[in-house]
Amino acid sequence: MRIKSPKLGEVEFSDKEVLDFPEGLYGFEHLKRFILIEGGKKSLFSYLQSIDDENVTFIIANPAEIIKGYSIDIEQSEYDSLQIKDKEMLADFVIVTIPENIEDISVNLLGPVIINCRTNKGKQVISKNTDYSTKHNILNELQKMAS
Amino acid sequence: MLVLARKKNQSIIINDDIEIFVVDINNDQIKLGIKAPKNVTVHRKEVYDSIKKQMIAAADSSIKNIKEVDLLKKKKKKNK
Repeated sequence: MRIKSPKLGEVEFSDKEVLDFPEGLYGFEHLKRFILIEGGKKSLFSYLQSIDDENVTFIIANPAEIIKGYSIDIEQSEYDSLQIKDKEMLADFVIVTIPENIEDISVNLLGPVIINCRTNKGKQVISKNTDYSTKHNILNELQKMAS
Repeated sequence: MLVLARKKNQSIIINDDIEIFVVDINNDQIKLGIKAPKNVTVHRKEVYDSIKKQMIAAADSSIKNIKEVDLLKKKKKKNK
């Protein structure tokens, strides 16, 4: 199958790659199916492309790769709801915002996304750690990484 | 919307298995206790709203800017 994404161009994918989000994502509850598209080899970023609406593409990142000491902190019941029984079944990432002023680049640590890699079912959840912000700036981290 | 008057230590039951107690009342703030099955998630509404707002901003992100983010990293490298 293929879709034409204004942001990523023409994207080909197979049924097996489709991630099922029965509840959608916050603010996008009507979009239930996405595919994950890897960024470049050296890129920290990947993409979550909606199949239901080709105009919706999120930039995503693995926060543990960017933020020292980050670990996902969510209720056990969230893992249970996707039947994630161990770490190997879990993929987690966060949504990246890159505004006009790119120095304001941020990640949403308060609303991480989890996926059961075996069933390809996913869900956006709310972190237990209320110190986590929806707009955690990562400019410093990116610059530190580069130096 | 259903509106019910409750006093301190009284509660309401939703769907047989969710109970919400008025634990304390203090001026314009009330403390609620919630008893619910494990699969029921409970969050403050502001948290939901802030995540939704940020998701809409995130969907507006320009992917072209990713290349600039990489440049930003390189610029720093040169400065070193």
